[in-house]
Amino acid sequence: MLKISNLSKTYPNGVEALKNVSLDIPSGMYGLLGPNGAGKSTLMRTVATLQQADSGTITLNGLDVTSQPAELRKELGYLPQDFGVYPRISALDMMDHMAILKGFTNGKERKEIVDTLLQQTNLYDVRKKALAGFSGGMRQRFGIAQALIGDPKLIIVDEPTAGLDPEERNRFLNLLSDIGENKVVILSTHIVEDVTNLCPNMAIINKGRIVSEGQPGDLISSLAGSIWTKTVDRGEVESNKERHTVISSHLYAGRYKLHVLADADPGDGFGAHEPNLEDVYFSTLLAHEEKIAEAA
Amino acid sequence: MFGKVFGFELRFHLKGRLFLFGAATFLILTFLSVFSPNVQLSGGGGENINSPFALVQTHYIMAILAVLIGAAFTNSAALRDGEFRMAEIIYSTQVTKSAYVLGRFFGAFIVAYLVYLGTSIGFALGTLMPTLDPDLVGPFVLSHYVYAATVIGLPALFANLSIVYAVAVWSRDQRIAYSAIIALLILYQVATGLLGDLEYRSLAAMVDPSGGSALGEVMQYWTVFERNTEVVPLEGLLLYNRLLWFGISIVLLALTTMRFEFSVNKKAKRKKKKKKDSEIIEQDRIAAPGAFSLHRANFGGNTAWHQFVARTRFEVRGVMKSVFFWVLVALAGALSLGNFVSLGAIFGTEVYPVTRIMINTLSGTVTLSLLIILVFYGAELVWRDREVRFQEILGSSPAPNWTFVLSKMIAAILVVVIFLLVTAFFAILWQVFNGYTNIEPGVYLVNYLFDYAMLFYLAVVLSIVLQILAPNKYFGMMFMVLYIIGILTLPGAGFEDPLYIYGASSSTPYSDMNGYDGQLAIAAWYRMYWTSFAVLLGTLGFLMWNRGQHESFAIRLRNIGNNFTRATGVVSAIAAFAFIGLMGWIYYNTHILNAYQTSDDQRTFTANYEKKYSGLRGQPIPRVTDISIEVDLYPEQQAFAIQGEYVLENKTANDISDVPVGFGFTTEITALSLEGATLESSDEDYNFHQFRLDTPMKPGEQRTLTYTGSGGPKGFKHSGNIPGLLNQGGGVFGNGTFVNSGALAPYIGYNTGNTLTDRNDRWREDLEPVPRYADLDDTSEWGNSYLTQDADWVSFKATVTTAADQVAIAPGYLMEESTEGDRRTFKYEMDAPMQNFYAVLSARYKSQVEDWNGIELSVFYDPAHEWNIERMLTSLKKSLDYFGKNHSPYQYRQMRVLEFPAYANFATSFPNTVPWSEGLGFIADVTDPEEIDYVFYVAAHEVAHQWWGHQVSSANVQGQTVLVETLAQYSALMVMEEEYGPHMMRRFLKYELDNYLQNRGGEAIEELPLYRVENQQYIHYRKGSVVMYALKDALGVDAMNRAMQGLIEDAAYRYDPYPTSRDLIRNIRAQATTDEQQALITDLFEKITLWDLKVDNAAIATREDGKYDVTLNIEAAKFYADGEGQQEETPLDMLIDIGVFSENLNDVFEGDDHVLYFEKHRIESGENTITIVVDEIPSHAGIDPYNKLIDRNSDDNVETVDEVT
Repeated sequence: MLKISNLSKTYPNGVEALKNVSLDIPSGMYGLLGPNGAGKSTLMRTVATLQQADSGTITLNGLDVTSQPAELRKELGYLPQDFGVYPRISALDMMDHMAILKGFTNGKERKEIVDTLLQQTNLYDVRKKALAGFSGGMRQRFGIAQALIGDPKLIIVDEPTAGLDPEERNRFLNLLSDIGENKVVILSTHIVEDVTNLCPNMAIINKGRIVSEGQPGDLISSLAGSIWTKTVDRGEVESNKERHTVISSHLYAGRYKLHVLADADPGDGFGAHEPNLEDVYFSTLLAHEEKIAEAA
Repeated sequence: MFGKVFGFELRFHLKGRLFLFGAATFLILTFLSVFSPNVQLSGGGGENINSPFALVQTHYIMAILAVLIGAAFTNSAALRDGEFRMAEIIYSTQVTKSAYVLGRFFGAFIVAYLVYLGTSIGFALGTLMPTLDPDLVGPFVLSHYVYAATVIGLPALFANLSIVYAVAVWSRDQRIAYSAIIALLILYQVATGLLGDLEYRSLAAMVDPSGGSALGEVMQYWTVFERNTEVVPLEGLLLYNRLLWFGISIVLLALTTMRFEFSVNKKAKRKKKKKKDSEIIEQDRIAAPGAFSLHRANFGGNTAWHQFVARTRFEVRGVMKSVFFWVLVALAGALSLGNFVSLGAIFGTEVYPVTRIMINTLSGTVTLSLLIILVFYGAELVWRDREVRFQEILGSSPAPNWTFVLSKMIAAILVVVIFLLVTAFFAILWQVFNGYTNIEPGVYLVNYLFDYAMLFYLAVVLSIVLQILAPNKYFGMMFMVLYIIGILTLPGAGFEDPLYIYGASSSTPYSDMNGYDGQLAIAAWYRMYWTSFAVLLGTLGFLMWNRGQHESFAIRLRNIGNNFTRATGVVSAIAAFAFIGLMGWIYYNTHILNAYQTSDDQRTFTANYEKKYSGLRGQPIPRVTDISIEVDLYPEQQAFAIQGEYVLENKTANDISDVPVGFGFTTEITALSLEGATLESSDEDYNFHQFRLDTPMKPGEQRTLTYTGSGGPKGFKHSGNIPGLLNQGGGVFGNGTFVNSGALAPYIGYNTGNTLTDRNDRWREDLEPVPRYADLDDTSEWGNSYLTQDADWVSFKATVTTAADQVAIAPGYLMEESTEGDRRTFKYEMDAPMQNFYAVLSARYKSQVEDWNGIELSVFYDPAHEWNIERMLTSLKKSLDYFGKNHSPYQYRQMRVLEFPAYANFATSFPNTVPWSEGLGFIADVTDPEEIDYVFYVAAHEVAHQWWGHQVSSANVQGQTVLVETLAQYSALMVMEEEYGPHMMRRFLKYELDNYLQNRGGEAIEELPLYRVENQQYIHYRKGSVVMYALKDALGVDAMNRAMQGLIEDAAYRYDPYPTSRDLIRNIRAQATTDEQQALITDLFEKITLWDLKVDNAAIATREDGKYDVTLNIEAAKFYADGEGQQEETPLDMLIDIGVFSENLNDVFEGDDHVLYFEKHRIESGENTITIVVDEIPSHAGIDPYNKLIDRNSDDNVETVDEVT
């Protein structure tokens, strides 16, 4: 399992990307949820040995990542948030190249592994086509295929579904869910649904801090009876925000559907709402923002 | 809208670091070039350091450099939206096409221009430096700076950058935009190359987008006076060039604006369309999860090796698949082919495509492309993964850092190798195509792929490491450019030790005859030294390698510790050990075993000789009368031993009691004695020894000087391991020894040859201004010969031993020859008095010997160079024949030509012995009858020296070389004219005239009239040819030859006093029958005279009798110029050739059917109208059509004839 302790990182421009982050991540799919700029990618890169934290430690099954990055990389599969492809190179060639880099020096074995992974990611039929011609979904599948080379113990997928259309996203999540259970898979995302569907464990990160951690079910049940909803016209949104703790407002058929957080029925036309993970997410973020505002 | 985009672009770049850095670079570079006497961008002549001429040249050269950095701004303007994927956003705003395209361009261009203006400021600051000779700094004239920066710099930068910008916008590809820069630089190179050929100069002036060739063409004949006072006018070719390229720029910018579309990527769109048919079909089913772990990864010892090989293949494939690389190769190929066309041309005549020359030509042309590869591929390879956004995936893989870094270096080196192989292939094709079959793959491999390219391999490593360390790729490229500028300029600035210039080595001259002769082995020490440093650099590179996001330098510095492994330690320790060990070894050789002398040190060394011993100048000395030497040559060791016996005679009227004796600085003297004298002092530094005579030498008394010495290399030096063949006494070589009296023999008294002659050098050494030659009428010097003051005519014998397989030659007749063991001995003896001027040569010669009227003619040559042996022998015969008949009998019974290695390209005439460089003539291709046969010419010139120099010597006063060189030119011209006719003379003299006019502007002291020439080559050779031919034309060849005979009768072997140019003029005047001829002699010899003859128009009208009237309107003027080239008009009234022709003279090679009319007419200053009746319709007519008179514009003498109806 992956243990992150007191990790902090401040960029030269003064942005505190990580502040005293500690997480215990067990085997299986782990969701790391947070808005853009929350520090997810910094955390992912740091775990992936691509960046150094200012302080703190990371260990994978006892292996110290900071002092032995090379050892960790042997156990690592990483799909970065944003990656491109070289022009004029096919999926097969690129996979083959990555397999060598990942330590598969025997040509025959390498071919078997590459072929298997291409088949599993359903890219086998197009393996000889140039990567540059791939659609977004295919490219992501290629990304996960290369991350899976060598059956790594730690797999990090950073915002893998951003920019995919719903169908592609669905397909990709299916693929992720198939990845074995004996390994740590960290899925970082800002899309709540991804976590809802896949992850038995999760954390919410905001402004460089872990603001919530646990199993989605537990977190949802902690909100039971606290979420209320009402649909209003655009003109009423602001006044409602003044009167209530609005955690989210969704456009729904041209009107706004407000979710508010309240221990008791706020009245004012609100009805009770069964909380979901999204409510957990938004209420946690809101609480954190308020805490920061108070501190300031 | 335009204003907003423009303003934004301007502010965007002005805030960037590149702007400040670039401007500082230009300022500092120019500053250095102005105040450091060794780094000069312009001039080098006698003009002021801040003359308008120097300002214009400097601003032009810096404008070309500014294109490189300016392109970074314009490329950013054109491409950054796409690179940062902002294009969609920008394109969807309201900005108009023209505002966007032009606003950005002009914003970026103005920033580039501001960077460039650092030049002007740096220049002005440079002129303030106190280290400059104040005599050479003119007053500060602001308008000259403004003119140079706006009229010269601005349009050059504009033309180039607008083209690069247009290409960038069209292609949306940085690499193609860079290819455009290369193409522009190549245009510039082509234009510069074309300038060498007289016929293509106007074309050259037009094709250079920067206008430099036009500048060169307009200012080519400018004198010092003009350079100091005039700015180049914006007219003529320069104006046309500027209009042409300005027009092209405007049209390109307009087209770019019109064709520009606000779409993300046209190319991608096109591709998409094509792809439609084969669109990859998504499949819904995802394969069931299977075993992800079929096999285990292997992290054994050889895994990293496999990873390294895979990375290298990946990187190389990336480069090979890019269009840019092949564009580079194609451009280099095209450029090489262009240069092969006029291969090694002298007087427009090419040489055979021997591999040595092919490689010289190739390396001259591909260097530019290689520098771009260095700068560009360093950036491309290091930043590509990041730009493609694949870096994080690579970085998270377990492949170690070094596999990434080393593979990039190997890939870059392979890029260089492939590039060289392809261009070498072009060269071989050219050789085969020209029927040249002696292809030497080994020479290509060693000379080109190793010796020439080694610096580039090392520089590639540096480039990659600099890119790794740099904050972004533009800075990395800038650092690399600075390195390149450094290696180009540091040696000139006095920092020339290859021990501290990364990648540098001692020079490795190569000759077909002598190969590398050990120089490659010397350079190998330096190369191993820098290679071990490169290993250290590379280690630093991978210790600081970024695996993921780009981290700051400080963080990466911290990471060094993390990345350090035991293997890293072992490798860097071995490299450091090798580096330090080699440094010690090289230092021992170049600083301890040999004195480390920079060119600055040498200057001081020479100056100190003068300061120390010039008091001896003019002190009476005895003169050498008999020379007897024994020389042992050891070609393998490049060493010699010498034993000499010199008889000295007191030819003065007084007793002599002190005799100073000096030797060449590299000759080690082990024994030295003078009869009846005591050695008082020996100065080891200058190898200068002073004897005091026990009893003074009475007038007429003779004493014998004997000495023993040796010479040869001790270890190696940082430069000059091959000594200069003339001034430094030459050297002993494996095959092709050429060692002369400078190294073998003593000189008596103060050596005036050991004097600094450069004006600025003397100023820096605090010496009096340049010592001028003694006045022509200074009779106190009439008793000294122009060659040496310590001898007149001497007797000579030499015994030379050499390796058994070599032939050794010295002046004189072979008396004995024997071989004993591995040594071969030759005894030579001269039977007639000769000058104290000799050399010894030895090589594995092949020889061709012929008897001609009792004279033995021979050519000793390298077996590979037999093309022109017949030409040489023919010229020897015809020359001996002509001179024997028209001057005086030949004084010797033999004449020998000896090839020596191409370390220098000259031929020189010792008594009946002519050493001749393999680079000059032995490989010339003179088979085309339309080309100038300079082999014939050089042979004739050297034979003529047997008369002019070896019969008639010359006094050590002004005009001394007229009697030697000018007359040798005259005699050679006469033989050439007999052999090839007047058409060839016209071609030849055009080169001579051009050379004279070109070099006047470079005169550092004062241009003198021919009769007072102070050893100025452009006067005594080039002007001399033109003058003598014009005189011959005016007086007739018989009169001229009578004058020559008269001179020989007066002056042959005369030494007290030696003859002067007045003897020559007197003999010529004696043959002149008219006042006009006398006046011409005055104009040609005693004044600097220039004519300006021009046909305004030539019209033809049909006469009633069926013939034709040709009417010529001629403008004519004559000028006298002073020593700085300031002209003053003087009345013209003389007979000048008028000719009417049925063909363009440039197309005529023989016969005179095309001459319809050719007579002299009286021409006066101003307008002249001449009407001539001819039988046929003429095509051309003109004044002085054969360019006999010195005219700064010799192309307007002849015009096509216009038909008048």
